[in-house]
Amino acid sequence: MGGFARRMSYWTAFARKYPGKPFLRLDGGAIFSSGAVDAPIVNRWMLLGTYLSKLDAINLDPWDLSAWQELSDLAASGNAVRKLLDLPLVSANVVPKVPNFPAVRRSIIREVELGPPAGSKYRVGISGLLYDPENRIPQAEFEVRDTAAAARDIVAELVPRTDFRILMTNMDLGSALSLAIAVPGINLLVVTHNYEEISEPQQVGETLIAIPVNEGRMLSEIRLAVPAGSDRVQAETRFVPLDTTIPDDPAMGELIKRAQGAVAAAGRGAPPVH
Amino acid sequence: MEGTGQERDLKMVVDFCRILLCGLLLAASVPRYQLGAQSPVSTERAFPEKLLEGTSTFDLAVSLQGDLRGNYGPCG
Repeated sequence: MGGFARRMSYWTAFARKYPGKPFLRLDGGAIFSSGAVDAPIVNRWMLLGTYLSKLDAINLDPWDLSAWQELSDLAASGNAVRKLLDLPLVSANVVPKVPNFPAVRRSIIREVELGPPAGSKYRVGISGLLYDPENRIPQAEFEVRDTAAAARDIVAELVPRTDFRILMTNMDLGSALSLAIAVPGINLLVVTHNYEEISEPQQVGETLIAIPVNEGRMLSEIRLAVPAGSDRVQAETRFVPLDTTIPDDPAMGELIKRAQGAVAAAGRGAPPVH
Repeated sequence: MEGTGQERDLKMVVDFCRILLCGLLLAASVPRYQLGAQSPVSTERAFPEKLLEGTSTFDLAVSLQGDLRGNYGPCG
């Protein structure tokens, strides 16, 4: 499996090999552990690793709602660091009603330099869609709008302000295909549905649908070329296996050791370290 | 029964050569074992540049992850 240390090592090596190339880091959500005995301990380390990963956007996933809430409550009570929750959470269709929940933005726009010519800007809009077809999320705690309607609205908002639009969602692949057909203007649709198998990205009309490999075993990477004077973006997609040949990033490797120690200590009955 | 003086000298030479050989082998093994004890930990390995291959004519790259589900690192 990969993990924070190998991902960071890859990003560092990438920046060294391709200096000056813009590189966005997106997380489709379902970050935290849920239901396991050690989940409260693990999730603190997941939060720290996520914070240190300096992501550009994180999708608000239904799997994570309770963990975000628990971590926020801990921070509000002084038992966790509030700063770690200053993360780029996005959702086009969820508005939290519960107190202390981390800030959720409708979208994030990243402007990247394309060059030459120098100064040429390319605007990337990023948002998320939480899919809850069985209405399991308590309405008293979260307002959750229909995904298709929310997708239309956010794309309409972003089209005049951006050149490339990315939506992230937990919906199944079939529903994602339908969404891509029904809502024009989505350039990249990232599907995090915990699929066990590795799936190559699929082009559906103008939408590229990509499924990240679960549990951090691989990174999915998309390299986009924007030919001058053309609005048609060329994409090369690839998977990067995060195997043992990748050296750990020193700082993140240390974090993993500490996390493993803390989880092991918790298993022996030691109190959690804040 | 003890051998002749020549045989004793020869035995001494053979013993000396054995000791010398053992000493040389031991000396040679020390740096190797020291290297083993200090073998590069993962943070000191070179990054496999092959993983960075792919088109170099791109303007923007996007790294995607999802469904980490509590996996913070190897065996986490």
